[in-house]
Amino acid sequence: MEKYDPRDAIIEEKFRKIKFSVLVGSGKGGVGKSTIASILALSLSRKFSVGLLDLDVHGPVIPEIFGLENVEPKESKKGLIPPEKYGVKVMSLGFFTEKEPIPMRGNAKTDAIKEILAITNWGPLDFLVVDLPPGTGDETLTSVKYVTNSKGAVLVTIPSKISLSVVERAIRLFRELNVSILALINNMAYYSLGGEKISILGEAHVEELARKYGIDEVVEIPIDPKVSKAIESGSLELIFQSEAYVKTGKIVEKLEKLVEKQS
Amino acid sequence: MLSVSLPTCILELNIYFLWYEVYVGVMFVLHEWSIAESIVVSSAKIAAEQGASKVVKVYVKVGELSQLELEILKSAANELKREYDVVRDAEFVFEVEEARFKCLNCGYSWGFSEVKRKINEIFCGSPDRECDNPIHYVPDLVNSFIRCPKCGSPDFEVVTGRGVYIAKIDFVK
Ligand SMILES: Nc1ncnc2c1ncn2[C@@H]1O[C@H](COP(=O)(O)OP(=O)(O)OP(=O)(O)O)[C@@H](O)[C@H]1O
Ligand SMILES: [Mg+2]
Ligand SMILES: [Zn+2]
Repeated sequence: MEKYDPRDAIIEEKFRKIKFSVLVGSGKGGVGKSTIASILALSLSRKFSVGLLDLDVHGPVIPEIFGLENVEPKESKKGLIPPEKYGVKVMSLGFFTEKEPIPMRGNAKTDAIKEILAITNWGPLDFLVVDLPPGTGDETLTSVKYVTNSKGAVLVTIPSKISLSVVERAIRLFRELNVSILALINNMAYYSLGGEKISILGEAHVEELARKYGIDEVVEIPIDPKVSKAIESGSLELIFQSEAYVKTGKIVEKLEKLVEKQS
Repeated sequence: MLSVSLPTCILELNIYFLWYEVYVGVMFVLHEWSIAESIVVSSAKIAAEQGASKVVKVYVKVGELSQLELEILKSAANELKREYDVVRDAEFVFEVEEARFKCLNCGYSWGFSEVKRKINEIFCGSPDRECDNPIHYVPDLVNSFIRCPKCGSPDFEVVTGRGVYIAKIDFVK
């Protein structure tokens, strides 16, 4: 017999109790993945039981966004209990480190992610939102492999050609891995000034790219100081006053239908 | 608190520390239970896949770096196995796997004892005192806290003794 990794079976068992996983990714860095993942988790938590998993192993920021910097997960016989805020259960490597660098090569990274998946005691959840790091390497591949329940991806871009070209590669990867793409978010699409939409980061054709790959939901989110303030201040509830919250409502409705269909 | 006499104060402090130690002690072992569960669940699953009617013995390797308590793993596995028919009479054997590290910058190779003292120093206040630490939960975080003893690089790998795996299972068909 080969060596057998006991994490495999327990991860599978844990995901059996989670109805749907939403992978928030992009390929591109700094486009608002963690922001969107946090907004989605927060919106979903109004009606559902929700977990938010930070898989940015080198730069975990979800604890900061949720104002959970000095919190540690508690132990239980069934694994670590994720700290909870705004009704969202949060897990992140950020809880285990302070400001230390987190250098890891490929195998170690895969191991760290498997470990987190194996030892977190989410309990039953309707949704697990996964915040992916930039790139389409270990974190993306490992999460697609081990997040074994029903899942879909929400991809984030900014309206620049350069961003779209990276996101197109990510779209193609998710399609090949048979993960359906629920929505493409055009984040920081414009800035509203006196009722006029001003393009700041570019005017790339996000709708066109979505059409090319049969993605039926495109959501435009403006550059909004309310969003950055909510994200930066540790008072995430400010997000409820933003247009970003209203506009991601369409994705939330879609997700709602997906879990209703399941039960 | 000013009215409390000194001896009472010391007594209260002692009781407080006693409770604290019991509390920390209990917290520290619960992680072993969740690891033991993964081993028991996996053994039952492997048995089912192999068409086994009964698992006799499960050999588990426990990497030093994970700092898991073998005795607690064993008693937890012995309790948890009762929930699964195929493994309920199995013997679970836990054995430590020595941890080795290799620097990817200078090539130096070293063992766990040096690392352990450093972990104790960082998290427990003294190289000789053990306590709860992040590497116990996610061994791969060792690169955040430890450096190559020879060149100081954080770019080293854990060659052996990282975590837990099932090395062998004896069963009857
Ligand atoms: N619509 C928006 N309006 C204003 N600021 C925004 C908006 N979306 C994101 N931001 C800000 O942009 C910055 C980057 O966002 P975020 O961290 O979510 O990106 P990311 O894609 O997760 O980055 P990384 O690739 O490093 O993981 C944050 O400071 C956030 O507050
Ligand atoms: Mg991010
Ligand atoms: Zn070295």
